[in-house]
Amino acid sequence: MAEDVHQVTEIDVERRLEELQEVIFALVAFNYQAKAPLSDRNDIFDGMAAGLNMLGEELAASTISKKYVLSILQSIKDFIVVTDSSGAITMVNDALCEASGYEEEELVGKPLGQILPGISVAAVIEARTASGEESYLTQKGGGALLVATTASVFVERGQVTGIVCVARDLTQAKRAEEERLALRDAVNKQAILLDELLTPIIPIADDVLILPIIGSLSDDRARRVTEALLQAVVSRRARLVLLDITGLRGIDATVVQGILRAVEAVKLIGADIVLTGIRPEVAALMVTFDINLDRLVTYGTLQAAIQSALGLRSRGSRSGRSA
Amino acid sequence: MNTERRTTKTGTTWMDHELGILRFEYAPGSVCKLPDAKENIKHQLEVSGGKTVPILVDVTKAKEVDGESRAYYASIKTFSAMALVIASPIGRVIGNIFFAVYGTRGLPTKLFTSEADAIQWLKTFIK
Repeated sequence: MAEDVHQVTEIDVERRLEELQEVIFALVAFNYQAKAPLSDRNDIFDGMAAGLNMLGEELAASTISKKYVLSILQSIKDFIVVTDSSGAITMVNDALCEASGYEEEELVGKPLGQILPGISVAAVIEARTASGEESYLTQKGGGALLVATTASVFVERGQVTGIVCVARDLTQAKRAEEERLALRDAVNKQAILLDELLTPIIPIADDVLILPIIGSLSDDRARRVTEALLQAVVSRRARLVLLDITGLRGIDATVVQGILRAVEAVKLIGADIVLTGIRPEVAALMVTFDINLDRLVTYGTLQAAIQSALGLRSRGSRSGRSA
Repeated sequence: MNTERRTTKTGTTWMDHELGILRFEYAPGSVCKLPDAKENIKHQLEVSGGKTVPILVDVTKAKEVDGESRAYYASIKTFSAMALVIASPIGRVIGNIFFAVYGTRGLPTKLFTSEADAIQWLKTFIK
């Protein structure tokens, strides 16, 4: 093998050394694909070339370049800022620069408080982590972005050397929350309006109210009807309520119970109540449930009840057909 | 007794029954890529008859054993020990880099410039 080396000319030696040098330069530049050519002599130059080639393969398989890692950080849309243990900024990503309006050069070396005044580096280092806190990202123009921040200690070779802070823009989320609240408010208003439509309490005289119930009467609606009726009786100082159930649909035991609860509640606050529009099936159901009808004043139609109510007022007394 | 020799593009495998050692010798100027490495291992396992035996690999005449091949060779745990004979400049580099990267993987591995020394060491792993 030594004889082979001696047979190589000086020009060959120079060329082969240059080839090896090229591969070394490539490895330094993180180009792990570069290969040094091998001859069939299996000489010392081939050994060195094989070594460099294998080194490149091993580095390619096991090394991640700083450029690659930085590319990842710059691709992240959340704001990333790294500080040293004194709180001086050492790195920011593009997303943070774009949102804050600062160039990286304007921020590196400056205290973290310049852009994230709500974060204490010392507190994060002591606690080792801080997450889910809302803060503001200061913008160059004087504005501020609401952000959610997560911070943790930055450890290098086992030593805490600073903190890494990740902030997420909450502007969109806040706007979505406001829209959600506005929608909820609108739904509430519609519910109130619906309540009013479901409980159309109509005053026909200073102290006489009519409440026609139309459609079905669930437990919940019965409760709301009762509440609205009681409020109206109190606020208008009504003495008589005409509760018309001509348009009531889907009558069953629950519905009858609901009506009777409304009747009892009105009586409890001192007003009289007249039930009108009782259809035969309702009457049959009331009898079936063995309901005490002694104190219930009823009329066949709303018209008759109105005439009676207004007549009573004009005569200063009340009459009706007690059930 | 299986005395068969298996020759591939990159080398020859045979069982040295007298020593109880499986042997593989790279062909002169061979360039070993992953498919070659897989083919070699397949033959080595067949020739050894599924027994756990020590292996002597002579890389002296090899020109290249690429990274994927080295990683694949290192993943094979069937042998009880591996002696690499590296009596050439390229062989020395291949052996040393393989040893540096995979030498601590659990399989006893050692580099030799002399075949006789390699055999002597491998004999200690024969059951």
